[in-house]
Amino acid sequence: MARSANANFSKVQALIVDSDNFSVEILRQIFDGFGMPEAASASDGEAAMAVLQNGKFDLLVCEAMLKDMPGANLVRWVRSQANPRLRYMPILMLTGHTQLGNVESGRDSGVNVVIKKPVSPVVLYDRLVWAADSPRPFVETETYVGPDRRFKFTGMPEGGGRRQTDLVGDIGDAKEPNLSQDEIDGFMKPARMMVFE
Amino acid sequence: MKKYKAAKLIYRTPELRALLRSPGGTARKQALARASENVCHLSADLLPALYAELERAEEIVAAAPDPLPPSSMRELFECQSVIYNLAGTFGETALQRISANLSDLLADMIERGSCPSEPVHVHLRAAHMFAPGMPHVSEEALAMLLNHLASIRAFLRDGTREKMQA
Repeated sequence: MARSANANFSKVQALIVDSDNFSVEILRQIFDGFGMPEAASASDGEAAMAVLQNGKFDLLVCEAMLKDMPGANLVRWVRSQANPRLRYMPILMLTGHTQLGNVESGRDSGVNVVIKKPVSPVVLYDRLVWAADSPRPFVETETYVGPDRRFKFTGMPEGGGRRQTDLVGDIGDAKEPNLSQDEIDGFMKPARMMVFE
Repeated sequence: MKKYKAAKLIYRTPELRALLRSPGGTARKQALARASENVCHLSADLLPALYAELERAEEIVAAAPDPLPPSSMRELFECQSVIYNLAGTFGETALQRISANLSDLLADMIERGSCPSEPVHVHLRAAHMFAPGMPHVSEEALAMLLNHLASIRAFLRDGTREKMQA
């Protein structure tokens, strides 16, 4: 989808899974700005499973650390469902803790994109549109179901969108430093072929 | 040698793509402007929540024994995640960075099973200094403070700053 093209969010049904109500409200307001109807929400993994089984959703936005289970477990459950609408649905994982191990865990659970919290509208919009437009096939193996983790990368999501405050890696000497959104994008798409400036 | 089944490749267009490409909709620039405006409007409601979370963090530490047990650390960790997210969303960068440092410290200490309360107190006092509406603190002072907080974390994790630097 070209950067100038319109995106019609008016019929997109999204489910937000996050135990932080403030985060849910912020995401809802961002989605509202995009023109999306009010997104449903669930505060933990078990509740999300029930809602997903009984509803019809086009998009799942899931926090990486839920109260009752890691977000990666919920993603694996979704990817293990026989219902193709669930199994192949685009999933965005949000996390404020972007150490390499956390991003790796999200990627290997089968998410389409990992997004660093706090989320800005531009980052969310560009990754969401990119996830929908991405030509990645789904891979099904004994140990992994999800978007192909090895594919030709033809550039960043249009718009680039990264906020200055994303780079917080210099605040401490973590065992694993927090990654910026650009680094996460690079890690999600390791076979980088070219990058548009 | 174990035989693995071949991987299946499924080429399937997400329904989301068809929905986004359906006629109508909004231009990216307009959608982003509306979304940003919506988030700005939230600040009136959510900034008080940020203060409340800062208070809650103090209460968690005050109510817990020293050293902090894992349950208190986990509660505090959740609280810091909320502060980090709210502070970052509303441009309170200094508070966001302090909160991130405390979250990282707590993540280290949760692995170990306990954490002395003093370093947590120091972070919480620092967070109050940079709460919205507090007097401006210079960038130099902030850099010095963050450096000290990083040293505290390195000390707790590795024993000494020198060991960490080596």
